[in-house]
Amino acid sequence: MARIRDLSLLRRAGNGDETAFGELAGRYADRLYGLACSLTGRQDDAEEIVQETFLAAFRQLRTFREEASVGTWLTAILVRQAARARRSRGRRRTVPISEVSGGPDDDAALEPVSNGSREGLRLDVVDVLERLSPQHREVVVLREFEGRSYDEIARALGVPRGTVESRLHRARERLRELLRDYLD
Amino acid sequence: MSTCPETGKVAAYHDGELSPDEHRRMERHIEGCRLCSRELAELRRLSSLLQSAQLPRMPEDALERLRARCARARERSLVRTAETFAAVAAGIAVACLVLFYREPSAQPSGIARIARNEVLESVVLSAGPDAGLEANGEYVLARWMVADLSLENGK
Ligand SMILES: [Zn+2]
Repeated sequence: MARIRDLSLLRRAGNGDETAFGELAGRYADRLYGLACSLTGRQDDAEEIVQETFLAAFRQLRTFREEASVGTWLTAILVRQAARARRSRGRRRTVPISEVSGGPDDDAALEPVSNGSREGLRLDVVDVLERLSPQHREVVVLREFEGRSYDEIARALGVPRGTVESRLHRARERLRELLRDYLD
Repeated sequence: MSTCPETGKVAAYHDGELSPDEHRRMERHIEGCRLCSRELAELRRLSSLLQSAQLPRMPEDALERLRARCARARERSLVRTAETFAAVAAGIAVACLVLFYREPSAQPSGIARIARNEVLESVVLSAGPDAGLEANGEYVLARWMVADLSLENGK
């Protein structure tokens, strides 16, 4: 039922229904924004990527297969938009902030930071993911945050299933190094 | 340091990617294998650490900008559609006029021919300068038709 409701929201939003758009954005914008941050490893591109994702979704409404869920479909579009943003960032050859300001040291494990709350240790996951290669980031995000299967990830990224498995393996090895203070 | 040939499959087990049979077999193996059970425990800790982390939330004003940008894009696409319709309609009008004036029974005088071409030009121009990209294609096509028509009438 939620599926049908989402689809009707998507169609109405695409036709300019502000209420439907508000409901749709309320339901997905936060999640897509979080994903965009984790896929790019930075917050400054995330807003643009989410905007492009919604615009592409409205443009491609006709290609939406009804058996898919709107959330999965939007995520697939967002993964492509994030990859495109990364490529155009690469072409512009900007210098990452971390290089200018002597940011994250790639080989050092992350020190747990206390945020003063009862949980004590807070993990800045975007900061962690920024230290992975874009390809490792993609598989980790789709597997750990989105709960996608290997086959779904392979389809979303257009790579063989075996590539997904090996990237995921290496990405997790790297994360275990980076997060050893959190994991012990 | 000892190794286990099955450790490489622990991740697929953890991710629920094994067939039911293989999953049960692996489950029994892990129970009896210290290396694989440690590997599984580490994968589980990593997953729950990542999944417990808060991803950034979309700022309130970013949501407003998203709404505004989608509304603008929609308006633009409506205008483009309207322009394309107008241009196509003008094209059809020109085509109708062409057919009408080609009727051999209606041989026009010189003055009438000039007047007719003015009508055609005005029909075409009304769809012309302000139209978008697609509409502009229609405009060029209509111009060709007028040029073609003038040649034929003039011979
Ligand atoms: Zn074992």
